[in-house]
Amino acid sequence: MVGILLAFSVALTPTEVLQKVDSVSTVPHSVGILEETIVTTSGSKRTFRIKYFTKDNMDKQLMVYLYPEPVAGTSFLIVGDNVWAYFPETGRTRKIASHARRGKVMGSDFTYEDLSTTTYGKKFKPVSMKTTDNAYILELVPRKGTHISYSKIVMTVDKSTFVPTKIDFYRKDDSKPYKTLYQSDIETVDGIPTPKTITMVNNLTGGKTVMKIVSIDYNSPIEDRFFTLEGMRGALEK
Amino acid sequence: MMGIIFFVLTSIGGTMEYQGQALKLKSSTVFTGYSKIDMRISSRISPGIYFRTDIVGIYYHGKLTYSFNYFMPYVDFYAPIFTYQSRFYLQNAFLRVKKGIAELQVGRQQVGWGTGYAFNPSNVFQHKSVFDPTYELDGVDALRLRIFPASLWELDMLWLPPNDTFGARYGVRLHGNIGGWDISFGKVNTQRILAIPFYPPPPTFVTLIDTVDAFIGDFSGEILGMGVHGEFLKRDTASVALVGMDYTLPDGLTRILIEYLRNEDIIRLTNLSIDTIVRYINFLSGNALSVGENELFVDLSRTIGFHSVELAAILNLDDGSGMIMPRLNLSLSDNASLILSPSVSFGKGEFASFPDGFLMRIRIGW
Repeated sequence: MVGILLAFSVALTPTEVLQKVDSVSTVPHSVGILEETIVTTSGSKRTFRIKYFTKDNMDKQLMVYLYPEPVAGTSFLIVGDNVWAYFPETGRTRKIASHARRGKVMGSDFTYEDLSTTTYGKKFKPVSMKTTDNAYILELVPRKGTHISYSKIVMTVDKSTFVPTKIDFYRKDDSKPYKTLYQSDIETVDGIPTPKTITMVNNLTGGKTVMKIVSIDYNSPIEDRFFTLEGMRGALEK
Repeated sequence: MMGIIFFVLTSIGGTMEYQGQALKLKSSTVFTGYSKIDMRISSRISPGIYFRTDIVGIYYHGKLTYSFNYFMPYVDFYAPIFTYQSRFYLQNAFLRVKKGIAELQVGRQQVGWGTGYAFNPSNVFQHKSVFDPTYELDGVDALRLRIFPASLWELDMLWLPPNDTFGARYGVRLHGNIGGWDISFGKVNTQRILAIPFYPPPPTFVTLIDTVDAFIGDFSGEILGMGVHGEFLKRDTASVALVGMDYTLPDGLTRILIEYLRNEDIIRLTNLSIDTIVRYINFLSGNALSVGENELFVDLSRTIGFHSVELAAILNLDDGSGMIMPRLNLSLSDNASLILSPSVSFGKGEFASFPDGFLMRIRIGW
């Protein structure tokens, strides 16, 4: 039986592996709290606490900063490829242009683009795959017509859970990965394999950003009103 | 038990701020500073009811009284003075009630209209400073109804009750998203105080209430990956338009923003000296967006670790004068930041009259 299963898994094509990755990475809806720690090369740290909501297989995301106080209430709404920012002190909502999605989110090593890329199969296509005892190693390139900063990503996928445990991001002309994402502390929550720690390392600067999931709920339904302009404004109140 | 419920539902936080600013006036260098506390209390009373208040106490020290003469090219007339007054006040204090697709918000609140960074001609109810465009603004006292007919669409209706100075004012704005572009259109009817010269010379000035009945609009989107935005205000006597673009370099750390303002909504007089004075007085008192009819704002910023360096400049395209405002934003800890910003003027027109200076602001969250 084990042999049959192994044979089956080995037989997966790169496209099928990517489909499974997207399948486990996207959940119908979720709500939770993240603790984000940004560490610079010199060892300085900044910590943020973020409440987030997702819906429609993560096509819609709302992130609201709870801590520290100076940024509390600042929120980001992601609907597909569109990103809006809301600043409570001035009551203004601002749409973020696609080039600006290369920018760091609140100084972290994640860009708006990283956060809005939840299903890799939409933006990337596999060009090769290697297999080890425990992992698939997929090489992906952007699909034609996709506007994204990365020219290539190399994704290491855990065979048992299909969770990407490591993703190397390359820009054009990079011989080494520009950034590397690690997903670890994988726990099964409500039947869904969930990496509790997500780390983005900037290989150029040596800085990194660690996101730890403090709480997560896949069962509570999330109303559509969260993913609107009024949802951004009222995000801190929810 | 009540205490526990209050604790659970109510959030209390805020900031402490100290600012010191040195200005090189025509004859001396002066200093004005303030200590400020902002205590924010917010509470979700029930699923549809929320309130927020920002109680601000600000205490000034140093030079408190300034004459407009300090900021103007001509001094041979009696210019108004203004005085920084220490006080406690409510910057925001509103109650929000939501039911279905409607949301009613009453009290002192932010309007938040417009897409411009340095100028917001469509937000006729609040006036930001082009010298410090991201600083929080005092709310306006209003009754507001928002209707949300669809996702990313809202109809925003604002009514400001009459007070001792102004009659009732209102604004209506429909905001939505079409093809990836945020677009708004609306109508406003408001009033402002304008200074006008009283003849014969030497000029003195009187004030009048100017009623602004205008159509407004704004947009933001992108062309070839570059962010573009704009605003307009069209009244029977004049138009104001703003167009801007912003671009983030591939490194994700460096951003450039440029805005051009065309402002026809200023008083024009045949006596050029008095015309200039009137424009200055109305600009300095926050009742006109600019002194010049054509102004350019440029902001170049770069993120370095937790900090950022910014180089902002404002230029009057009509007279060639301008002001350069570099700014260093230092993040000292999770909850503390420090801003250091000199300002240097150049040219012989509008901004040449503004004193060079240096600003330091430290803010701590709690």
